[in-house]
Amino acid sequence: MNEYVNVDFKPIKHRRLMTSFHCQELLYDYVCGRLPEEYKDLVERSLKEHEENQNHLRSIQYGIHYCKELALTEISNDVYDSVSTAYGLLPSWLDWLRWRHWPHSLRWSSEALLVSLTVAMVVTLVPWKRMWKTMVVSDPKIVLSEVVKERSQSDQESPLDEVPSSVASQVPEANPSEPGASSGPAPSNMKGSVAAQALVSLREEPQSQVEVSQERPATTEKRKGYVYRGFMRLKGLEQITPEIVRDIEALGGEKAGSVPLGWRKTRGSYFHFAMEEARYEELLSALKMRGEIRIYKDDHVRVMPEGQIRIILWIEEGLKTETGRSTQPQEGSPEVKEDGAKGPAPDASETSSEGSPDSLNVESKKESPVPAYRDGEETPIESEGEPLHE
Amino acid sequence: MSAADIRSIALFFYFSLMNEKLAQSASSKVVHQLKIFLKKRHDQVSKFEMHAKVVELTQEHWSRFQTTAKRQGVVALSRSLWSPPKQTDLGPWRQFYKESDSKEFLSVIWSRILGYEDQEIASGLRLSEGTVRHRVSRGLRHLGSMYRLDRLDE
Repeated sequence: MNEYVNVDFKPIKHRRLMTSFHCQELLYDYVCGRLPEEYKDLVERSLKEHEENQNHLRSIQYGIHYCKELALTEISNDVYDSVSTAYGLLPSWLDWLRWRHWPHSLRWSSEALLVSLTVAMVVTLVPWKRMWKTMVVSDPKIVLSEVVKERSQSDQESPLDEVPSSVASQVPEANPSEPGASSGPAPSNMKGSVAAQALVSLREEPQSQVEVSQERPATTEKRKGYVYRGFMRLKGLEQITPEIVRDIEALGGEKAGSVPLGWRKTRGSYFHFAMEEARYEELLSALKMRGEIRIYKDDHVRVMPEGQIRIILWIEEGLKTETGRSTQPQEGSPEVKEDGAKGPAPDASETSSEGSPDSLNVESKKESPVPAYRDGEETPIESEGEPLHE
Repeated sequence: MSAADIRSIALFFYFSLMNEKLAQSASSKVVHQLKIFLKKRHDQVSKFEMHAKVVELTQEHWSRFQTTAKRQGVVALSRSLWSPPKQTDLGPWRQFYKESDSKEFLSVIWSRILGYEDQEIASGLRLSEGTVRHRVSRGLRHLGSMYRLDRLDE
């Protein structure tokens, strides 16, 4: 170890006390004799003041002494020869194959590559779809057999060989007191004839039952409900409304909603009634006499009895418009409350002879029009045979 | 390459791995690589460059072997192959080997056992001289404390 003055130590301008930490860092150089005089004095002063630094100094000195002893270790000639002999190709190749002796970067990258390749192979080669199908149980139920519940003719007919108890009770017992009645075959003959009658009646019964059962499906078929929606625009509703009420009642019409016929609103009169379908034409002709009417048939959840129809008629106060637009009952109107059904706007191509279209159009725009079409259609139900009356 | 260099390399691995078999294996590899280095430079290598190269190669191979050495643990060293001075106890050194920081530990070996200069060590490790000196100082302080404790027990 060369002892020399290290030029890295800067000259101390002002004498000052050295901190303990600074002194510890310079102890090794102090022991090696590399410190300038100035630093040496400071270190010695610090050593006198701090006992901890003295311990550190002694440790360093002991360490140096111990290392000097270890440095005298001798190696045998065998070791010397084994180390200095030529490193063969095979040992070098074997050493190269030893994965643990690879550099860290190569080891980590090879490990990462191996893991990624393994994951990629597992993802691509494993049949995930098949496994998923077997794992996922879509429907825990197992169908053993399916029974069709439709009634066939043979099932409807009761077995003819079995005489119902009701019929059997009607079969009179053979009276031995009656003339010509014999004990043996006669009663059996009588019984047989009665039994034959019973069988005939039994055959008839199933047929009637069949007929009834055949009729029942017809009646129990789900019928679709509908409602006729009519619109008119007339002047002088105060006077006309009671007249129209009388006409409707004369034709057998009865109120079908919660409000009475001809319920007056601010802008018109509301009529919600049911009547016989047969008198529908009469009603239309009566209403046509008063003015132009537009009527449409709409599907509705409410199903009327057979032969009965339901009509919702809204007559608005005012002049007739060219477009023939009628106003929709406002929110809270009985139609909306009762039916709750709204449809698309009426056809804008309809025209009327009277009225100022602009003002009424503006009015109609404010109040959305009454439903008059089936869903998705812009033309009235004319094409389907339902009358469009003007 | 001189015998002293071979001895230095062997001693380094002897004290750094504490495993005779691994020390021989590592030493032979370093010597082999050193021979290749010398061949490339046509044996025109200064002492400074030689020592720096030894530091570089020994540090590189030590990092590869030290995981195996730690896994195997400290193996009893036969005094027939490696003969330290008779009254020198390797106890403090083993303790120092287990407890110290690897950088300080290796710096102590290069500086105090092999006798390399701080500049040569710094050149081999691509560090500053002050860093090397600092590591040696701390290593010696630690080793000295181990040695003192051992002495106090006697």
